[in-house]
Amino acid sequence: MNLPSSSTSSSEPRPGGWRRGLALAGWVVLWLVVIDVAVGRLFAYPADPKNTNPGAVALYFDYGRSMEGRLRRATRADPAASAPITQAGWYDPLVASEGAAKPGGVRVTFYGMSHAMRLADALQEVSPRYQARSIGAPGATTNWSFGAFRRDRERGQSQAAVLAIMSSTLPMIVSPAPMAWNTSFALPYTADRYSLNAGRLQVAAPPYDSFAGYVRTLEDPAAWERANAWFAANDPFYDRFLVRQTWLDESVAFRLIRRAWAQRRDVGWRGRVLDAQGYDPDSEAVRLANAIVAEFARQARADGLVPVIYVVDSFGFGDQLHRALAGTLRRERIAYLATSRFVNPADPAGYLPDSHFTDANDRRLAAELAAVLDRELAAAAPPPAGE
Amino acid sequence: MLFNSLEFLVFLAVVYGLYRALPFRGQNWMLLVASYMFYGWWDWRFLFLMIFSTSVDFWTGLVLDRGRLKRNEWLVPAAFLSAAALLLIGCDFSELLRVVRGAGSGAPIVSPLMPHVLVGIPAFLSAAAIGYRVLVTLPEAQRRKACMIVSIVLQLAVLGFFKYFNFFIDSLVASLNAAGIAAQPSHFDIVLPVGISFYTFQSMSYAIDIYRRELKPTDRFFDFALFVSFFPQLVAGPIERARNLLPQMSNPRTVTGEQIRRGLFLIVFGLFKKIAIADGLAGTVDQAFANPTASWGTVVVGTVAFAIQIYCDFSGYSDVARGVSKLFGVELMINFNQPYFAKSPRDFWQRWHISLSTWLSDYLYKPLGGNRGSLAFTCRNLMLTMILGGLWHGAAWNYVLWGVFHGTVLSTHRVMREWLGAPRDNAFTALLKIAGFGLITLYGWMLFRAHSLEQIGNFTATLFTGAGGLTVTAARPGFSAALGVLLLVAWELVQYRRGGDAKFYRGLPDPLTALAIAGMIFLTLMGTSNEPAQFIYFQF
Repeated sequence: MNLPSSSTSSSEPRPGGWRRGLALAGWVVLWLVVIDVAVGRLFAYPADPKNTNPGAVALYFDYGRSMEGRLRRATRADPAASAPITQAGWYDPLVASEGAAKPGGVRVTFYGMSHAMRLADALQEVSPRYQARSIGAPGATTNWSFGAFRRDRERGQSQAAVLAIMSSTLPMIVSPAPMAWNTSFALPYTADRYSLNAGRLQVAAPPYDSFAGYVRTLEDPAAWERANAWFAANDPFYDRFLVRQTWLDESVAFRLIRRAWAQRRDVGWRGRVLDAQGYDPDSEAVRLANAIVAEFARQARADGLVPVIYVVDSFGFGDQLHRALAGTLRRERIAYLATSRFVNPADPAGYLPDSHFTDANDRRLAAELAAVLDRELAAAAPPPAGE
Repeated sequence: MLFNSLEFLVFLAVVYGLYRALPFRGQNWMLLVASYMFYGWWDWRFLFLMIFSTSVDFWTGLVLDRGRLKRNEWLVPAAFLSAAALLLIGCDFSELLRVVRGAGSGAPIVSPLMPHVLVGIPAFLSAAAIGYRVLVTLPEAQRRKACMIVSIVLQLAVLGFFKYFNFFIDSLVASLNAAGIAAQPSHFDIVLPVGISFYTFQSMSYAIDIYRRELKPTDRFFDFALFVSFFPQLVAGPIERARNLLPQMSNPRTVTGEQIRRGLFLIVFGLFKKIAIADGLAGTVDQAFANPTASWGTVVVGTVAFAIQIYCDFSGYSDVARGVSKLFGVELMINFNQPYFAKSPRDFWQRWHISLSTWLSDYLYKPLGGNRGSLAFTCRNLMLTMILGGLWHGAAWNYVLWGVFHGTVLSTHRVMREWLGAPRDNAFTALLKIAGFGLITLYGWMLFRAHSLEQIGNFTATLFTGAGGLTVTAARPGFSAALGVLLLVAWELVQYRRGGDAKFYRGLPDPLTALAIAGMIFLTLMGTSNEPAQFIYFQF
């Protein structure tokens, strides 16, 4: 092959010297500062909280800003002047979205994240029978959704309740504050913190659960400090480095480092709890998920509702969430819809770039859900008189 | 421990601080311990295999050269190997403490391997001692040959078991089933030790060079152990030769300012290629190759992305390895030299994974006869070398096919050169050749990355029929990768225009060089939020 000599070495001439090396290092530092400032100015994130479309590049370079910095930028005392995202997901008041009434329609309420809301919309569209009502929050984890179910005073007016749970956010079921883990969006809403004590589900309410309470807390340094101390004590995802605002927020390079830190933390969490290869049945998240699913079913049945679990097997996570819940679902005889049975979680064609299912797949899942509801409602119906 | 991890940064800072504070012998001891820690970070148990490989070739070298071992030359490696065997036994210290406190959970304190180790190590050492007694009684020529054969068989047996055992069993069962003989696959749950192919080849080359009388052996076991395990190049090369690296381990080193400057640059450049580009493309590649119904556009985008990813991943690792070594005053061989500017298959293998291609050339192609025979004989040798080179990468048929593909391309090129001669290039024909051979290389990368022969069939059919059109179903590359590729292409184009000189930037004004380096650092920071992926070549 006439290949080069294996003794090829990189010994080289030695121009310059320490002085030139230091000069070069100085230039590198200077250029880094120039790039940092230039990128920060050119792609500055708009200060107006109502601007919901800052541009992809501005968004990219802003991701690593501290949560507190992003929340303060997005929040005004007047809800109408605040960013729309700050209004989402509060328990008080709990906002439900209602599909158009259908004659003789059967009301089904969904509790969950955007996947659940999309499924509700699809069910409303494809089914002549089911009338969808949905209560959701962006990126809602199942502890939030179960908290919403418990607080929903109108739940008894539905015939079925659908609780969503998703593999990509399963580890975050232990978090009462999306601001502690969701680095993509600054989400101020809070959730219940559930824990297991001798196998029993216990709940701790967050320091604030309404927009007004949040604004009051944010604007009162002592209250904000107390709230952060509560999150630090109760939320395993809480990391002061990621949450609290510092002057380093102004540096793009520092924001990139903070963003990497957050990603690394999230990858570590997911790897420990659930990934495409398996799940840890002893992890707090998996045990809590099973306990919440069982408790949800018990409470729904007590209210005369048919409980259904919507198991969202995210892209790249295989069917591990379905497996992690299978024992509880079988033992408690809970109806469920596991997406991995209909949409291959390894095939990107089944998903949109933002990780939601394609519209066609949502409609397909809605049709499957309608079949599950038909079966479960028929089984739950009282036998005809005379039998 | 990955080069692109915080752990490694801390590890390097500590090791480097100690290195600068210690005298030469202390430096070597410390580097050896650090290298074993670096390797043990994945799995301490596999250190035993490396120490086994080290001991075997240390003894082999001395017996080949002198015919006998001094007492210490026998005892030190034997004691070291026995101590390393304890790692295989392992110990669950928390359970041990619980047992001591009378609260044991019943879990085993030591590995179930303990009886095998307690019997196996004395058995191996006894066999080695008996074998040695027999060897030293043989005439020199026979002794040297027998010694060389024993060493190669032992090294390849370890490599073959850990890397190829299940593959051969599967292939055998499939062949038997195809012949109508019912057979059930029987698997061992074998974990592939990281970097085993790299350090095995490195260690083997030492023994073979001594056998060929091209190298004198060392009688310092721990210098040799450091040569085999030197952490910057331990798990993914370059596959060093003893004649280059061993003297640098055996003699006091000086670290020059130039080495520090160049080393730091190589570390920045390597991390830029790995973190900003390779990791930024990983999602695109993974999704394209996970898609069972990939369109023409998806196959093309996935393959091009993989070609860039594997180059940046592997050459990035090599750059960091060379850069870190320079900080310790150690020069490693160049492993990549602008491979995508190759104008022919021969040119490509002089630029891609140079340490492996030279190894294959020196220890396989040339011993097979090389080009010292008819054209057909040369083509046979090329084909055999490339097939084994493909198989070196992993135990799967797609690597074999990749080797066959490159063997065919090399042979075809050889035949054409023989018949047509070697025409002189002008700028236009050079460009045409780079582009043309680039397409061939790309198809090879598709074979390499595919996870089954069925996928290769499907993707090849899609490429030639255009099925699915230009639609691309794969994740978009990371922002850092998109910008990083532009910077890398510009950098490499300038380097190519300047005769391929990797240090061309020294001729540029400092502010311009600094701007490029600052750009790399900034893009690397952008890339740090890409999901960190293990270096692709770690699996080989």
